[in-house]
Amino acid sequence: MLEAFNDPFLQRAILAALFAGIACSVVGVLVVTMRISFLGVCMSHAAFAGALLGLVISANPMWLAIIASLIAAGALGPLADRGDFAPDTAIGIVFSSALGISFLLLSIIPGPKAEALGLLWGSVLTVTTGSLYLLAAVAAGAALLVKLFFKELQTVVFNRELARSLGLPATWVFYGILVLSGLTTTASLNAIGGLLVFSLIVNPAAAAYQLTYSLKKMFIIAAVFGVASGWIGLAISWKLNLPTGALIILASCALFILANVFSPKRRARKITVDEGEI
Amino acid sequence: MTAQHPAVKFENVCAGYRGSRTLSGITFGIDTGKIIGVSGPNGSGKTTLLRAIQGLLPVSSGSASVLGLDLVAASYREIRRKTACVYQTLDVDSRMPITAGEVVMMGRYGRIGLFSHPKKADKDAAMRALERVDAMHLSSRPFGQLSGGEQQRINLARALAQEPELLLLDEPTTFLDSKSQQRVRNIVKSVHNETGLTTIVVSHDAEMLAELCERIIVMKHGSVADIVTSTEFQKIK
Repeated sequence: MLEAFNDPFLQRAILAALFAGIACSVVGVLVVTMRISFLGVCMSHAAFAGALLGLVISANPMWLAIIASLIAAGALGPLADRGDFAPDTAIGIVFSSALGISFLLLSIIPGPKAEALGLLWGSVLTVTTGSLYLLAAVAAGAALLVKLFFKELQTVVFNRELARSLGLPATWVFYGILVLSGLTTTASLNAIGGLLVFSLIVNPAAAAYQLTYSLKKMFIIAAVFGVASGWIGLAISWKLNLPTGALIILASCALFILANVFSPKRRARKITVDEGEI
Repeated sequence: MTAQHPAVKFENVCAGYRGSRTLSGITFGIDTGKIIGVSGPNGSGKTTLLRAIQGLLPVSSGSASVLGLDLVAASYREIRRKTACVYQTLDVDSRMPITAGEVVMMGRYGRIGLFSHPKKADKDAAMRALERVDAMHLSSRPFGQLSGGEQQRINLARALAQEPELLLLDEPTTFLDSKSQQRVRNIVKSVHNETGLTTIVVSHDAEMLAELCERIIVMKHGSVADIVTSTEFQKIK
């Protein structure tokens, strides 16, 4: 069994799951606490559309995925800030645009579509060294940003209007979260896939949300769950020869269900409701 | 506190987003150390006036100064650091992983600066503010699980921890039961009596405005309709 760890594919997959788990969970904590979880799916589809454009015009899909996700972040921020739309409406508009562009580009890609579909499903076992470096850089960057700007992030996720009234750069922090979300989904595209990365962003963070009243601890628990989801999914996939991406997501779902069942917050809520009924 | 300049001075101020005039022709002044009320029907521009004072709403014409800083030319961040606002309610999930003590500490964040962490002086200021509103025992409780009255006391503590020169209260007792309303009123009154902190209270509660404020600005359709004493205000109501 231990011999398997000598396999370079598995070594890269273990590292990819580690970095993707950390990066996605940092973004997840921010979007779950801000109640804009759909941002992950929006960004992943924008990145997917960019990558498809790369395939259509024979350019580097990863660079175009980064550019597309930054354009999506650049569109989302002002749309949400104008006040004409709620943030989830703005996210819905950008998401549907990205989806439409993706379908259009899928239909006009010349030749076989295996590479395009690979971006949709991802494959942690065939992740390239370049993608691994990108994932590592994004994970390290995300952790560093949380360390440096914790108080600003904490205030913005608590209440953006309050953060602004305190003189904090609330708009820049919000735009930074959008950009970080775009970079994370792009970096995870090869390993996790455009469709599945959303689950790895939301599930570990949502599970951590059930277990703690401390934002600092929530970042740590979410990262542990994110990495554990990756490694559990990878181990089962390696053993049973089943699709890795799907098993990573199912592992993250299972961790969320367990966290919800054993959540002290759930028990506290039940007690409050019961007392209210009396 | 010396009265070098009025705490707030608006002269024929128009303000609004993207060309729209949410506030128009606003003229009033508030002397340093005074407590002033703002009243008026829904949509009359009371909360918008507070946003303009904090530099959260662009001034399109007229002359406006807050704490001696020109609202058009000065850095908004400078004004926001010197003013603290307590909002009507903060829509916070009961499971939000942020404690009451952390919310109070947020009052210090505007002063701390980027890349820095709260120091002992900041923690001491937050503790003093918690004691001031008699909420030390709530410090480690999740903010979202506090009652409306407790949350509003924590919001007041957060504003006091900021050590502002101007305190803005936007409907601070709406949605509170009568006991909590009285408690918040008493805190506002005692803070003002002890520190002379210039305070602006926006409220529908005529009784509270008459009890706390010397003068009341009556707003209508985004303009100042009248400025009256508390005695005159009680007669109008």
